[in-house]
Amino acid sequence: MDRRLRDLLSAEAGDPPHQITVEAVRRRVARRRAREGAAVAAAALLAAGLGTALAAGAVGNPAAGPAKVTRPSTVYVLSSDGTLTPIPAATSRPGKPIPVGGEDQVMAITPDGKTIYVDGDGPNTVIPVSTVTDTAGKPIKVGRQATQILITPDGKTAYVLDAFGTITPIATATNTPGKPIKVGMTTGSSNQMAIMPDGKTLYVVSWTPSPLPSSSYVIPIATATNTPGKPIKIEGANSVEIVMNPDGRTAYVLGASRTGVKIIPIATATNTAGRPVSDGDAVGELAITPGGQILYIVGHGPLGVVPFATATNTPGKLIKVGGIADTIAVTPDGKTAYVSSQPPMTGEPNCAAQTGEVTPIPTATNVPGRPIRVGCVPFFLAITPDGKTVWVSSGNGKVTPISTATNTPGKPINIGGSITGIAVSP
Amino acid sequence: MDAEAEGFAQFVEARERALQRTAHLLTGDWALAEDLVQTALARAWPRWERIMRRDDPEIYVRRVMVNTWATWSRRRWRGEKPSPALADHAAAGDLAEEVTARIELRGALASLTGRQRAVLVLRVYDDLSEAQVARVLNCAVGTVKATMSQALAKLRESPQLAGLVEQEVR
Repeated sequence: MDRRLRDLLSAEAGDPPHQITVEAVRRRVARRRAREGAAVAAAALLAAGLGTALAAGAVGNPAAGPAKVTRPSTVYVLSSDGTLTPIPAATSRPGKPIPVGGEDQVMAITPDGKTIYVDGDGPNTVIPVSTVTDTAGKPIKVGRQATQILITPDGKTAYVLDAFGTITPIATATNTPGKPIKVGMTTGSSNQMAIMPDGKTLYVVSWTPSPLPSSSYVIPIATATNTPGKPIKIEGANSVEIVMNPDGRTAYVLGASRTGVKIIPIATATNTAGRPVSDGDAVGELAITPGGQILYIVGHGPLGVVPFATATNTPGKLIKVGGIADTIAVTPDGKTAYVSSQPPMTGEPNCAAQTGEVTPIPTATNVPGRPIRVGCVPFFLAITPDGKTVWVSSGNGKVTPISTATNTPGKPINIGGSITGIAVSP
Repeated sequence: MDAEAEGFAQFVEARERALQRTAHLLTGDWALAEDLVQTALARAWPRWERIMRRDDPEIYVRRVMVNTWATWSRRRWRGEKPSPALADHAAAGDLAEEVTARIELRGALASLTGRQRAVLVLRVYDDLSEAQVARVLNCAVGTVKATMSQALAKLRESPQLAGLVEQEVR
């Protein structure tokens, strides 16, 4: 083969801006395994003549922060079979599924709990679902393949980020899309956008693949005008996720580099990046306590969770949980973090032979409590605004409620399909 | 970590950059390339022990990658093609000629069918033999030869690339 064409192809191939870690692959396997395990279980049931199909387990965005409690909560479970199923928390009896279409879905609920926005059937739409009438509205055209939906604290705007770096603002009063905002490439992680508590500035993690080497940024966007401000450059790491401290003073960026994971604090008053703090070797998921004192980094190692003290910008000792940690949710009172984990994957999915866990961690001590065994592939977590129940997707198309008073699981509820997200309305 | 998991981790660490580069040539987009490689690796992991016993793991992963990309091209991003426009690379001084050639190459790659693009990338960039490409694509060696010929013919339509292609086929 002639070298010149190969050299030209080599130049065009370029240098990857991100490292693909085993941890990133493992998280994707977890999603696949949940579905495959469900399919196996469903096939077994059908073979046994038990009729209606069971379905999958699975994935999605962790629920947003606590909402104001105004009426009895309803849990909404999104499934890959294209439905959103309401479950009144008081009765735990699933209602009639609402057709929303789609497969790889994300969703967000407005602060008043009246509307859930779900990425729709096909890559270019978001569907508003009224929780008052439990009906889906007219699809809203947005960019391609939504990866996160974030709703402003005043509930007036839903920002839809797609996998190609376009944010589409939607006016929730009219459900009309505004002018798209370009922010460069994004990562596909769960938390790529974060907003100030006053709703005035939206932050998004972004990177540009060219010129090489790629550069990583956090872009502040003024929500009044939806115009991007001066990008904040992240040195030495590719920004992956971002979370906002509830005090609004600092946003924390999870950055990945070839030498490990870093936490980069962003001062929102000056929009400047602080000194990166190295912390471990895996890209995980971030969650912050309602009081803002502890930032939890999940998937560290991937053995457990690291508590990061925001007052001193220092990582604490690794909190080990059973199996491989996946996602985290913190109770509204900030007293307990719940972490889902599942056994290491070394072979084909086998829901009949393995058990996943949810581990409660008191935030005062960061000493893990007794693991709660739920299903085979627990993943999504959502906590009711009153803090009494943790809902977890537990594999085989089921969700399981866990009482936070006793840390015991209730009876699993069959939804069907592959669970792709859980949200709780106030 | 057991031996199987460790072996997989070593494979990912050693080969993820090479796989991403190939994926970038297939997709023309880094985000899609990363997604494609992760998807292929995620599909390979649960079967890793069997793959190690029965197959060359890299051939297997590349096969999954190409097949997945073919599926995506048909289903998820139908009709979309990588932009032939040059990204904002610097085009200073004597690099101008190469930059021009890369613009042409990008456009030419975008004009190829998925299979033609895969054959060209695997054969020329990854330097796989015709037999290896046939294993990746699960087709006959003759099909690889014919597809490569078609791909080069399309590249030859560009004056900037014709010279390179003429040398390639000699």
